[in-house]
Amino acid sequence: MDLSNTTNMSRYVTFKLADNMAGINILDIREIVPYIKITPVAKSPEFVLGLINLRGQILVVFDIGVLLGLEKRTFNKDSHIILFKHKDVGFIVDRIGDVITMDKEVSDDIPANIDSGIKEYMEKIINFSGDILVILDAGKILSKTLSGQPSAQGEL
Amino acid sequence: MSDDSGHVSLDAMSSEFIAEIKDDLASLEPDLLAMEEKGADVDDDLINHAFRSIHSIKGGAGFIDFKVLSDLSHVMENVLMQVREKKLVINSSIVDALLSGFDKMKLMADLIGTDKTCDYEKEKAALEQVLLDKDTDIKKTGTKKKAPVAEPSEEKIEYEPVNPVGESLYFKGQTFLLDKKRLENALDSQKFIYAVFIRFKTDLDLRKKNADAMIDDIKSIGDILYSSLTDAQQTQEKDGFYCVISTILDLPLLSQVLEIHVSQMTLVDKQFTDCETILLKGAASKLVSGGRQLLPRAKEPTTFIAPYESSENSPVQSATGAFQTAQTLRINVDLISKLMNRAGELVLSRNQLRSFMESTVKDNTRAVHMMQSLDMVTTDIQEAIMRMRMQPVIDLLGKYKRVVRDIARRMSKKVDFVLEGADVEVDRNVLEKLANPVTHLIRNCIDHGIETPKERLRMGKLETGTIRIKAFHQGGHVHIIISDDGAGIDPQLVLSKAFENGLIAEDQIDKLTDKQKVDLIFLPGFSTSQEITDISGRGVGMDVVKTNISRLRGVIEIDSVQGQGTTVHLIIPLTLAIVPSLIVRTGESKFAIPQANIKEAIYLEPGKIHEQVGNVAGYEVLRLREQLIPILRLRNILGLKTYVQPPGKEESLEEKRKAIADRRQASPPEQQTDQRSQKNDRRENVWDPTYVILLKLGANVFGLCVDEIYDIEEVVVEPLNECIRHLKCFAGATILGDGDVIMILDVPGIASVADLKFDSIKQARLKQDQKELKKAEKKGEVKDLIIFCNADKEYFALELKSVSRLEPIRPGDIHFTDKLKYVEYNRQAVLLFSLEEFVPAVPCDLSADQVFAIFPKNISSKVGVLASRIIDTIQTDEDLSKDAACSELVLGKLFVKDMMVQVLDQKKLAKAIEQKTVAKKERR
Repeated sequence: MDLSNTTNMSRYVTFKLADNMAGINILDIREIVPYIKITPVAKSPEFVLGLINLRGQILVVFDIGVLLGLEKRTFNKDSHIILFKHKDVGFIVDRIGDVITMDKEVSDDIPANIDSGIKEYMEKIINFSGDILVILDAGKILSKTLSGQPSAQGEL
Repeated sequence: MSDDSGHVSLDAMSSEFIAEIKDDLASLEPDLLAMEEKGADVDDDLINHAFRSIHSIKGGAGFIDFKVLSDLSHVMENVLMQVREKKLVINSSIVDALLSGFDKMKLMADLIGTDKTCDYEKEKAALEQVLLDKDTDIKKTGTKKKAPVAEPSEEKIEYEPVNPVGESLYFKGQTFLLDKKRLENALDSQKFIYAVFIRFKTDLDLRKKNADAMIDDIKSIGDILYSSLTDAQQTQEKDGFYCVISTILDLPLLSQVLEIHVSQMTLVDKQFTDCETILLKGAASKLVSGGRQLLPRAKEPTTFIAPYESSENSPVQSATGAFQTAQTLRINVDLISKLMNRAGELVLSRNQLRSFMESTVKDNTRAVHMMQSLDMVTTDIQEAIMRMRMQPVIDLLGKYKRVVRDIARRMSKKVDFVLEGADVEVDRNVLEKLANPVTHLIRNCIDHGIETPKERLRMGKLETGTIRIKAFHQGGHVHIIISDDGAGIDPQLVLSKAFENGLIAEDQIDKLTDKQKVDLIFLPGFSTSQEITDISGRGVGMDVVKTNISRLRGVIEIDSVQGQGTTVHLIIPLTLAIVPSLIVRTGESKFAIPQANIKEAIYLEPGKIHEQVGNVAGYEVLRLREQLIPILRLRNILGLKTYVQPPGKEESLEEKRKAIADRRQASPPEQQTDQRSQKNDRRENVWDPTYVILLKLGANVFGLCVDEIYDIEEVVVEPLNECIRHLKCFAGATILGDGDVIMILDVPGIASVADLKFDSIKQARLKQDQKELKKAEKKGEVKDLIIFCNADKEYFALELKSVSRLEPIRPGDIHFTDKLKYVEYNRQAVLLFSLEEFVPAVPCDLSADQVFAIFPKNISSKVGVLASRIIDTIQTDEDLSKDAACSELVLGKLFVKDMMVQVLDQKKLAKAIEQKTVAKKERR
């Protein structure tokens, strides 16, 4: 887990959510899979898109856009599912970008006008080569969405 | 788990020790309780077992350098030692001291690896007091048999250790002279006999020990029957010397205590006392295999249990399960879950492969054979793994013996605890989640249920109250019934309490039955008040109990008779991870319904739905055999209003997304592409359920409408992720053979979402009983009939109970021989008759695609009666009218839904058939 302790750099997977560029620490991620068939779950919370069968394992897919208060989006063949490392949960993004390496300390103040909805799941915001990169906090996303029953799988 | 703060972090080995300590602790408690029960008659096995547990705890604690625990266990061990040597007679106060010590040890075990420590002076003092009290006795009896090493004796037996495996090099060709009496004594007291080889170099010199110190060490844990030390010293033997020891420690423990490697020890088999030849088992050498030399404490199953086998029937052992540990292997639960998942996948692949094989390579006998064996092995593996996760309820319920004892003692009440059905097995997860509610219920039993002995005598009851727990399997569920013969619950008191707390409105009060009043204790908020404990029944935290049970998708029922006691009935699903389920479809979604919940499936004929389904103020009910059954439409329950495009196609993503969003908002479907909207309309407006699945819920039944039913499939239940676990409608998800993920429906959940108000289990049972009683009264009048056609529009019926089965056959498969009709069924030729051969009837039409063979019961040969169509089964008590035109074989006529049905006399028909077969045989 603490690989990044050794250096001062963090690596982030970037992706597109509607018009936004966002990223998440690569260490929080298990794998990224192309869009596969999602079985919707009736009466589930709005942010739950459904279940997928990943090599015999059933995982929940979130629509992270709903959490962040974005407009409803559509998915296409560029859509990918990013799976969290410690939980059987993933979220769908519109397009996968590069993996970028950044100094841990680099961070800009979160502008005051940013909606609190997105703020809840944000780790920091980076002004990055002409783009604004919102770094999402996997821990916050998971703790907000899962009803606080950490599974044993969480430990390594 | 990594630890930066600096104190000793737990490595893998330590955690193994901790796990072992906890296991030992777990097995200690029942032993202590059993000891108390037996009092002075306590048998050696029990004490020895407890002693061993304590001793290995001590050893483990010493290993990981956990002083407080090893210190306390040392004192405990001392007390047990005295008991073992019969210097101390077990009584309740001793057991109290031991149990309090035990509790503290348990607490300590939880503290291992933390910085915390706990105070145990009180417990230690109590234990030491026990020792002091008996000290005088001990002195009288004199200190232990510090038997001299080479005590002279008249009767010596000579024996040679025979090592059948021949792996233990140390004992080849060795002969020891033993005192027969001492040997027999040792064996009688269930001790193990070991031959140990002690090496001067590694065992003594390296550890800076001398031989005498080693001898003393050995004496501290057992007796020395023989030692070759003096010989070795005389002959200046450089290698080492032999000892034959009797001790109650098992091999790994002995090795640990003496710090001698297990390969240098061997267990002497018990049988030599009979034949005077000594057999040495190759036990030691077995242990060191597999690279576990560094962990000699690792328990090797079955190897050490030999001395117990003869006493296996002892009731204490089987009751406490105390000795089971020796035969089990500790496996990480995660690993089992993983294995479970993989087994599930294996089942899925097997299913896929099988269906592929069945459709393509049918003729290849070799392939079919291979498939069969794969099939069998898979099923076996699956079952074995399933069983691995199952735990007997005694693992949980057995614990309550202690709880009951303690609470009862504290409250000065006398309570017996009876457990029935201890071997009923439940999935581990379920068992874990049952612990909390069951503890609560039992606590309530003693706290509020059972009266004080005085009170009980005054009431004319036995002084000692009884708490009875009964567990059994029924219909895919585990039933747990907890009953006491205490005071029961006063409905009036509960009611007034509920009223005081504002849980019930005044105008409701009069309408409540006593049962409903008692049920008020389940209301949340009922228990918040402190005074509630004064109620003579129970009622503390029952809402929590109910919540916990519902979380398991279980049902709780309370039934109380004032003055006589209270019974709580829990019905919990087994949640077997693999359940046979019926796959159904509604709209575009498939669902699995566990077969255990299914009573029957009814096909609703298009166009005739309104005859079968009635509508009462918007609620649909199914008329079925004189019963009105509430029916629900699955799609409405789940809110599946709009058409959901089957996913998987690329362009569908957008639509699907919309559809999901629409469904959630329950908004009318948007106008999409013309084709789709057409489809939408069709679904929305002309929706006719085609199947009703009748589902059992306790003793109640309700129907669920679906569009289609598929096959029964063995599905692997995957628990739902936390974020959707609160959805009541689903019990889990599963992956079908084609890789699709589908949801498994939860029948009680659906009933509660639909807000079905059923009678309580008891009432429903009562009603059912009454119905059956009525039926019995009218016996001979109410019949179940199966109605079928011979030719079109000519209806016949047989009593359902006289029919063994129905089988669809293709007329093309009927073979005609000698004017007889045969069909192959189960590789046997079955003779078929048409009704027109017996009764005046229009001949059966064999030109249809499919006809049916009805196999009547009570006919010796394989005979079927042809029917062109099966119409229905009905229940009727109508009288049959018989007129002169009726054939002999017809009981009478009956009008059912505009059909004139001739009810056949099964007995006469059978007779006629028999005659005909005999006649035909003879003619041939």
